[in-house]
Amino acid sequence: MDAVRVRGLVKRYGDVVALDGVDLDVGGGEVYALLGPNGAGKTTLVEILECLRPFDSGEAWVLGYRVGEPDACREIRGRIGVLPQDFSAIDRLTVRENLQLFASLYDKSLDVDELISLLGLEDKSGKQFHTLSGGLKRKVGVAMALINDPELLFLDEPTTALDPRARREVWEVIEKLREMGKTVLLTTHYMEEAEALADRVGILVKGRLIAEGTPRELIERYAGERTVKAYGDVREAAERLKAVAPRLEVKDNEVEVKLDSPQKLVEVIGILSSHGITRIEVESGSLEDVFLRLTSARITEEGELM
Amino acid sequence: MRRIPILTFMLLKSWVRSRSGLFFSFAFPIMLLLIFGSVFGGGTTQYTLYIQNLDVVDGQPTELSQAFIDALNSTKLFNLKTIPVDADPIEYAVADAGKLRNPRILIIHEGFHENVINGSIVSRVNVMIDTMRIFLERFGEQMPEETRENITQGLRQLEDFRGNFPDIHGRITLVVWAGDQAAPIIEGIVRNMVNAFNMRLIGGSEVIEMSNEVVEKRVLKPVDYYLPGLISAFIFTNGVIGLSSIISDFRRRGVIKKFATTPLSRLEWILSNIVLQGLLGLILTGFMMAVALLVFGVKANFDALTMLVIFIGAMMSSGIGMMVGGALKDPEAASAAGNAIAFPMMFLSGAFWPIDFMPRFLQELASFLPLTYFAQALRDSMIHLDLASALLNLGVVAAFMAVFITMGSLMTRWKEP
Repeated sequence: MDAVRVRGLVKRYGDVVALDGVDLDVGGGEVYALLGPNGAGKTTLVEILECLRPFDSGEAWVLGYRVGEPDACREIRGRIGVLPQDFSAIDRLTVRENLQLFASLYDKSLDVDELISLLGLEDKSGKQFHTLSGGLKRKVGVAMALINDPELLFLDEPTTALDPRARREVWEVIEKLREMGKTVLLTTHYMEEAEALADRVGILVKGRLIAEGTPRELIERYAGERTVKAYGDVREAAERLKAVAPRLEVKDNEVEVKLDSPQKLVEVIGILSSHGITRIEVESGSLEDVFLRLTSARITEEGELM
Repeated sequence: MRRIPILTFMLLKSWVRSRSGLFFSFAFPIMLLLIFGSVFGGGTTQYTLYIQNLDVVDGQPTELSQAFIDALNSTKLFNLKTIPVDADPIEYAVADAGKLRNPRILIIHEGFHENVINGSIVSRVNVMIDTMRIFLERFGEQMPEETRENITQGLRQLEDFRGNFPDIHGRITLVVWAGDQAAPIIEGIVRNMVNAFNMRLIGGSEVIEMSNEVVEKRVLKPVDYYLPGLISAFIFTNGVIGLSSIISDFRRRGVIKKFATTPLSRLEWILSNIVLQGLLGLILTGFMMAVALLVFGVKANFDALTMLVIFIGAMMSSGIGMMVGGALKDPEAASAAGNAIAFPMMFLSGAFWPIDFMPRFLQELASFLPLTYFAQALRDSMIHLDLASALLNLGVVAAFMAVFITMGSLMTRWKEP
């Protein structure tokens, strides 16, 4: 059974179409990243699945319960964990008190102390929430999302506005979730986050899921080009390389070769090394290239389309 | 529903740790109680009154003018100050009191003693003349001719005698300033004293006897009035202003959204917040009563009914707070709206002064305000010990509560659009 199954989901705000017929499947135990710029509909989609928003048409199942059916949301809420966008717990309660409070809201819950040590929050557990740094707040948010031992977690922009170190710490926590066998649906506008964390990535732009697959598949499919750069006495080698890879550029002591498929990489490197050239760099495509290829645009650090 | 106790407890913990919350909800009301109690409650009010006695013979005040002053002094309502005979009374009093104080001045004019004595003789003669006339009219026909003639003769002699006295009176002047709110009170007391003198000097006895009967079971001090008034007013503002800004802050910062993703229901959330305000109301009342007892010696009644009134009143107030907090996402706007609702009501509802002091149309307006009934119910149960009236007013408060909590629930957004 899929943890999440969405078919033809449509959501409008007045005249604005926020979700324009989205199909989505997230398998059990999978970490799935919804990647897209601000306003693409990521939060809308996730909040519909969390039973926080109504939708206009289509169908959605969460853990086998059909969203919108009577009593389905009560079952869903008991079984999911949520880190909302711009998450905040109760400011003047300590980390432990916040966890205790949310533990009491569910029929079953994990041990608060175990959860604190699982996330390495032992020395912060007595601190009031508002005194914590941004990164720690998100960690506490993940801990609170885990409190009912959910099968499925929704993490809405878990690292937005965090500094690089704090972001890495949150990534480690999400890695832990994968090890625990949790299904995770996260949203992000950071390419490297989706690439680093996700088993599968769905690219959401203007309410449409325009591409989906593992990061590797997406790169192969949309940005499969490799660039090889070699430095040294490259003239002789360049003559032979032309036969394999016609798109190449020679400067004084440098050659740059663009490859359509990864299969030619071995051959190119073989030629270079047979000419005694050992300074070789290989650049492969990234999700950023995929996104650029699909939308002719980039996403800024703040999540805006550029 | 089992989630309500722990959520209420945790919200209480969070609330207690907020310094501004503590200040506005606890310290501020207690400060106001101390101020109000000291200003209006420290014993009986004394009015400063300047007296210039111009009725002086050989440097000594005359007997009657001094008696009049002593009589005023014995009321203990005045702090009397003497203006020297040769001073300009208004100039002197203003210089002594300072311009802003609007001194009240009583001037006893020259000849007071003599004129009063003369006047009293005239009055007595008048009484005698009247008595003889009535006697003649009633019984004259039954009298022998000679007797009637004698009496008529005597009457004529008395009238001649009266003619020897000029018809003048002992004069006093009371100077007050326009806008002095205490002027009517002072004028009333002085006039009362004048009447008593008139009465005594003509040897009359009191025909109508008036005695004050206090309707209360015990004599009330002003602070008795302010204590329940302040408690109800602050429980009201805590609910309307405090809760609405807390709620809108929770909403703006996404805390409510997080709660909405858990099995907690909207009703449980609302009830937890409202029950919390009820508890805070009880705690605040406890503090206020302790201060009132320790500082002013006020022993107010604090029984199950009082607690119920406070609890229901606090829940009614927080119903309004839930409505405002639900409608406005910006905590500043919510707080401003809460102020706009709470402050006029505080002053119009008889929490600080009796409704009877206000103009007619405001009294009518007050009868529509929930705080009016809350304050009255609390006063009935804490001070007047009037069970019937307390229950009646409590019933009105409970009805308001039902309406506000229902509307507050409808206006609390648990789902996004």
